[in-house]
Amino acid sequence: MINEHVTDMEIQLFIFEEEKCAIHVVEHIKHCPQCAIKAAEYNVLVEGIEQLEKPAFDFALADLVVEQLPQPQLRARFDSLFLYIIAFVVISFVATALYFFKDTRLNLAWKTSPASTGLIITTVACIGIFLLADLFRKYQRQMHAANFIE
Amino acid sequence: MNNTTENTFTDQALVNKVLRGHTNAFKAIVKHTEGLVTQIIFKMVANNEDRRDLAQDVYLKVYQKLSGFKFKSKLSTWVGQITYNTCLNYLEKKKLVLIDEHDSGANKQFETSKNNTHLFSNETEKLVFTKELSQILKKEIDNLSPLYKTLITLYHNEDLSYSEIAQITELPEGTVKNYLFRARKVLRERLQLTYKTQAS
Repeated sequence: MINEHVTDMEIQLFIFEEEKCAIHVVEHIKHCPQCAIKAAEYNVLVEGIEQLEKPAFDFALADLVVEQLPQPQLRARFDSLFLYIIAFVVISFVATALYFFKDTRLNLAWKTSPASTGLIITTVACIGIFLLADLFRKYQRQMHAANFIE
Repeated sequence: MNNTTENTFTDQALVNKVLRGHTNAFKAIVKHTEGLVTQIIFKMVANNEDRRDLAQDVYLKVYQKLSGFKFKSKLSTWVGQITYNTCLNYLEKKKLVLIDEHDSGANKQFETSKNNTHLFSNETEKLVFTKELSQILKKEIDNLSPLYKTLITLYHNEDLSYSEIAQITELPEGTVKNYLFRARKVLRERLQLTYKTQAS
């Protein structure tokens, strides 16, 4: 056993992580009344802390928080509505254009070969689909960034 | 199956449900983590109104960031981290200190003059003291710096490990241990002082 008293840190280590404590420290505390009292005081202190009443809010936190959450179903509905509106506008625009340029279109059809017409329609459709998909992806990413990632 | 794996499964199931729009799952998360969040807020913030606002703020942040949770820690630890950071921002805004100068070292005057004093000199004193202890202790813990109070509470009341506390506070584990050591020492010295003042 060492004659010098152990430090406060060693006493705390003895109480909270005895397995990490050096043997000479353990031996000293066991045989030195002064250090043993200090260790006992730390034990009383910790017991006291553990017995303290836990704080609590005087309202139902869970209910209050849930009330304030954004409604995900409404957002999903808004997403669908937004898509329907875009689709309606595009279809209306195409239908109006086809109606008003009916004569021009017929003349053009007479003059253009079926292969060229097919190619034009396929190209326009492909570009249109690609642009719409890209637009939707960008929109989704922006919504995600605004709502979920800070 | 060990507890950590079980926790991860439960956390994952709850998070997935919340992301699918089930608010009841989020309510379960709040109820599961409420104790820890309340402890941190009560220890770091003194004003009651601000505590209420911060608690709500914490959970709204948790909800907004939930899709970014990577399950690298327990969900409760992650929520604790958000709570701690929210309180830290609050303290910074209010220009309040995290560790008071009086708490950073031992009470020098007290240490030199009463180096060999103890809380109690016999069993009767110990018994009387233990009865008064919770009242005195509550008061003395309230007088500690916000960080010390929080660390003491997380370790001794919430039974968190050093590693979990380090994750919540984003401090190195060694620093957490060191601060905890100092906090207990300051607390012990203040208890001695209070007790001796009352006794004389």
